Amino acid sequence: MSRWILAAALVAVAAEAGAVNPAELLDPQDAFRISVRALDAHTAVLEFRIATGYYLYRDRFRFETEAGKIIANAELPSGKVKEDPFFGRTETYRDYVRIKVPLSDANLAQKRVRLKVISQGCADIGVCYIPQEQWVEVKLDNASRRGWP
Amino acid sequence: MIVRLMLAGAFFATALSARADEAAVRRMFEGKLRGSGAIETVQKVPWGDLYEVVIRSPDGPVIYYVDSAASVLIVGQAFDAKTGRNFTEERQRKLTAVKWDSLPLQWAITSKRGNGRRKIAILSDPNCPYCKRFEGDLATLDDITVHILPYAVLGPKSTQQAKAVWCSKNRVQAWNDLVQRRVEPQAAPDCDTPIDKLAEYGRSLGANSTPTWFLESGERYSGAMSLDEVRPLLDQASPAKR
Repeated sequence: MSRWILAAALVAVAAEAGAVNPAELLDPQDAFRISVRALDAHTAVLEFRIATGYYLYRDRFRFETEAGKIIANAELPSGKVKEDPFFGRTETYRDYVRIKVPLSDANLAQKRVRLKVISQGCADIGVCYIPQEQWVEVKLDNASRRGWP
Repeated sequence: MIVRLMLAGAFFATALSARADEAAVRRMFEGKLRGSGAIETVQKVPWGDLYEVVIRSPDGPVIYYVDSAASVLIVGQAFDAKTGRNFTEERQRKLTAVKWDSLPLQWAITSKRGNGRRKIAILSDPNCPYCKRFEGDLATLDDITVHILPYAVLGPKSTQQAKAVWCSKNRVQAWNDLVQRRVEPQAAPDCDTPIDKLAEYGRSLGANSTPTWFLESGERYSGAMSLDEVRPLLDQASPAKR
């Protein structure tokens, strides 16, 4: 679909994000908005901006290289812990989460690295989304010189 | 006779001008769309001087509104200002409706209470907390037929569990034990199951969340709606036969 129609759709959902009812359920890519940048030549930082009333499960994240290799040692911050008598212990993120994903030395020579990000979450109004697969591209140009608080 | 002719003429004239606008709207949209979406319908809305354009995208139908000069595009929902009726939502529901008979109920885990009059089919994952709540609520209703379509999409564990349930001697009990009481199914998940086919089926409908459910009218809903909300919907879609 053309760019301006999608952009218009995004404006519409952003306006709705405050009050949620089933008819206005956000698409997962709008409920969980991802962005990425390089922290340094060895680390990508992923940020998820999570719409109000939505949450992501900490243990459902998965990161893969373009070749399909699983990146095991991503740094996921602690989430909100819930001891569910039924589903056991779950950790969830709301509003915002920042995840550090290490890049392998093999990437050092490259200017861009593509990562596959898999995440899964739910909405408080009573639905869970199927896992979402997204490709992000990390630009490594000048990454080591860029400051990061 | 004269009156009738005049009416017919007037009708013809409006039909003609409506068509001209329609064509303009269609042309404008076609110029903007590239690739993944296609225009499904363009029609005048019955509640205002606007055209509704339905685009068929990979995620299902999307509704836009355009003025009759095809110069302004509106994205959003239209409500009846007096009654609060949501026109856009109603249209969306019609557009995503399926034929009840087309649902693969041969792959369902079906339980019936009372005369089974009210019918519902639910795409449900065993690890979705809202599916558990929704099914638990429905279990308190009488005169209902519940078709669970095991939609194992939240993880590999769900697939393994759903297959084991399907391979159980008593599927209804095995499903309810798992979903409501967290008792793992004992059967080996190695019989012929429809679980993979159901995952494919749900994806083909663009069901990207659980629970996603259907009334006998074919209308589709998402989420664990409260019993107070779902009961009238069930009664409306499956009216009592006299």
